[in-house]
Amino acid sequence: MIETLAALAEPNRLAIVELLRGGPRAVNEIVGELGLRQPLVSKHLKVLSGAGVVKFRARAQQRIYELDQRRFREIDGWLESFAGLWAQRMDRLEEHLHRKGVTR
Amino acid sequence: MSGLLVVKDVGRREITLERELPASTDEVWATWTTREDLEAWWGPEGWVTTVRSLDVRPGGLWHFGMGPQDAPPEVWIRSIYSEVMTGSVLAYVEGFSDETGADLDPDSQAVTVEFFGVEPHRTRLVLRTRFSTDERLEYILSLGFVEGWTGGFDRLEQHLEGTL
Repeated sequence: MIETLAALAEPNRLAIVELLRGGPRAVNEIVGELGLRQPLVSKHLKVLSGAGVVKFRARAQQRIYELDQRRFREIDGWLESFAGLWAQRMDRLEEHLHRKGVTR
Repeated sequence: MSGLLVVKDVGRREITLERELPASTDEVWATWTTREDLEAWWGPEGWVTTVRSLDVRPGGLWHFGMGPQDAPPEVWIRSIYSEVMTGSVLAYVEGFSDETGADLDPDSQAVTVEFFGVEPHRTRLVLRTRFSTDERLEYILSLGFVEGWTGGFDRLEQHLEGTL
């Protein structure tokens, strides 16, 4: 999970990921939509695909990039577990409020 | 998960939880800022929370330990309040410590708790936790399970089964 978060921590990479949320894009489309230089975009895409955040397929002379959902499900699972801790703690707080007799 | 709303912002390493409780903001505020209350509800099921210090004002120390019943606390937490607006906002920087309350944790997380009165006897708690680093986020999550939150473990297990 650390690799995923580290890959997303860079603002331009996060921007690429947010763009790809709208659907697959060719490299030149990413370049055009984000206004970044092509070598920079290629560099970031390499990091993102290395971390498994994006995957690509070839179409004619182009590479089409898209998000790899598996990584996002992984992060989601981790964060859900943190939320789960708080869900239990909040249940205890609510029980406590009931015991105190301050609820209506 | 009775009504817990979760918003995750991975880019900011921030997780926001929202939960409504059937009591006034003053009552809910008291449960966060009174020793007896915190010792009664804070911490995982079956564990005991021991509050050593609870100085609810900006710069004040909130120091407590948690551990299984009839055993000394296993985990000590030290928080310094950064913002206290009675009845509405409680913000603190939270990190691991020991029983002396020393600051042993260079990598704390920032927590903000907001208390919104939605009706006279209904309070919405909004709890925002921002982690300092990616490693920190992973460490905290893994430690949550050590504390005995078996629900988290179950979910992790299911999750691992689903993705590996």
